Amino acid sequence: MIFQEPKYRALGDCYLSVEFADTVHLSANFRIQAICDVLSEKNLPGVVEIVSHLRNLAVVFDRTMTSFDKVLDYTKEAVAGVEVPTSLESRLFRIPVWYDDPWSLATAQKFGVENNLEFVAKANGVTKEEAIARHSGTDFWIAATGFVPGCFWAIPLDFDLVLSAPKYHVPRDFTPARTLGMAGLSTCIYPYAGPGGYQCIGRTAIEIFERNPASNLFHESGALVRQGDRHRYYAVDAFEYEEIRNRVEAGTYEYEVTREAVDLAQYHTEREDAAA
Amino acid sequence: MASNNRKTVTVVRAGPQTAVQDTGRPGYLMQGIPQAGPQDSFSLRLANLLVGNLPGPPPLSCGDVGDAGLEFIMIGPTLEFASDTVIAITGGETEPKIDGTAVPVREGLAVKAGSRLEVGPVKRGLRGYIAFAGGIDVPLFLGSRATQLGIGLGGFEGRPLRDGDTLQLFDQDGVVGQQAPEEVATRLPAEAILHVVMGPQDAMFDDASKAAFLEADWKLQPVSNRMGFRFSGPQLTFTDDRPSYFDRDGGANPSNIVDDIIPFGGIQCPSGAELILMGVEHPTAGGYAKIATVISPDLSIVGQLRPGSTARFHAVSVEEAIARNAEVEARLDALVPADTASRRAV
Repeated sequence: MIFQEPKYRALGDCYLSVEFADTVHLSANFRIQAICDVLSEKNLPGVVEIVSHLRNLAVVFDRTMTSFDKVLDYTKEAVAGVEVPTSLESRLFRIPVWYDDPWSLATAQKFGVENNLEFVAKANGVTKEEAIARHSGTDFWIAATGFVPGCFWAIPLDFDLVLSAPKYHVPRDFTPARTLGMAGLSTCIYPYAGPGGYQCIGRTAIEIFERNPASNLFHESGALVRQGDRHRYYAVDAFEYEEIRNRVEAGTYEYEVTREAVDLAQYHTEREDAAA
Repeated sequence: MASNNRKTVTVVRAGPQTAVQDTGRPGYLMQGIPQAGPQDSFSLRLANLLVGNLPGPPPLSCGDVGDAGLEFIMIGPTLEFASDTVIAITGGETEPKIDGTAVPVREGLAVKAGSRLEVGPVKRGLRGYIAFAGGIDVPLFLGSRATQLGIGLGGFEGRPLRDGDTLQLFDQDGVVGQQAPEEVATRLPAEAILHVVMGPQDAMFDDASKAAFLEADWKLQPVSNRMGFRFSGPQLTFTDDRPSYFDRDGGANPSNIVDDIIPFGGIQCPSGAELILMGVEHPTAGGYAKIATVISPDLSIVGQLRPGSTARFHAVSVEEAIARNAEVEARLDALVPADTASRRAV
């Protein structure tokens, strides 16, 4: 649910967290991102960074330069004053995905669980094919970035096509690079091999983290994905996957990206919190 | 760009994990990039102050980054110096030798060209630090020379040092003979008390578990690193007023939440079965309940805990946490005259 009043909390002595909801709501996330932008632009003295996430934001402050009370005051003021934009400019990436790929299956087998895509389909009362159709049938909103460098949380913008799934009971110590994971309402791509707990439902042929990015689509840090971007995942088969992968490795792949104003107002309607 | 007249140091034996660190790169958490830098920030900054370098600020601060030195764990490196320089060794207790002769720790030491430093094992504490006059010259990544070992960013080729590596130093005269007394310079308590600010998800734990968290001795497990420090102790349990949509949106385990921001020092409790205390290379967000957050000055102490040793948690207010940080910073300022740092030629 979205809280009537945001919850302000100290996380240790370096962070003020402002929590807007206990689960994912697009409207709350639009608000969080808007507040993050406003606070970041203010360049307030003693503020190290404003971090926004799915359902909370944090003001990282320098405790040797400012006080918690001061940070609390100006954050409350910003939260009260920010208007959520009804429309904003956003990048839309089309991302090729080999759903139900052999690496995801091997990962499931390695950790002794069933085919993750089948598990997700069953959890949502649909077939595997319907699950893929849903997942590739809506644009996703990048609600947050992080976890590890380059990773992100993407939420479907069309809630009629929503899939949800629990995380692994025991997190994995290995996930193949470029695996598409999903848990809760969120989709991510693991930028490189590493631990994880999301269901492995596919693999993309493209890179979302590069150590020395040649393209200015990337952050200087090497991360491709930004909050407020959108993704459209589309299904490719083994041959298309290989063909794209070859282009990526040869350095000739061009990202499929468009920029356009996106109307946020149409997504402000709330879904029910109660379990279906 | 190695040239022959640069000051260099050759790594004869690197030890199990020796890496280049400065005070780290705050400001990129939103891209999933933790600040990295030393797990015991106090000790690296002290070492830099002793040799006349810029120490840089404590973690997650606005100040300019400090000079780069080395962080080692368990066993220090053996290094050979190609030119005269000044070094200082701090952190966990070691018995270093230069050309076979014992030398003091926590003191600016003149080192002659051609000599060999053998740091040896860490006898007490876990992590040690070496500062070199001028600091280590590796490329800046996002404003810092710190190594993020987890995925290999920054520092010396993004990795721990190996035998045979050559480090370049910035050419700068050091300060010889400055000392820091043991009783104030080291923070290696026999029994570690780590101060915490409770939350953000302490309300999810039942009262008995909140009490147990603050009363128990927590034992550091060997599967710990700069990302996270695992502690075992009593099983913690959760209240039963969890909203039903948490299962769908966050995960079916009672410790699952819908992912939120993980702070440096945050303490996750997956399944309530163990604690994972977030180190300098922590994931920036995640989906397990966090009972409390260790305050920043005490994260230096965490860096000195040996696996198998215990720690206790003591709750404080955010105001008390900030005051404690100020006390530790004042201690560092008092140890070495502040004007030392300004000797650095820019």
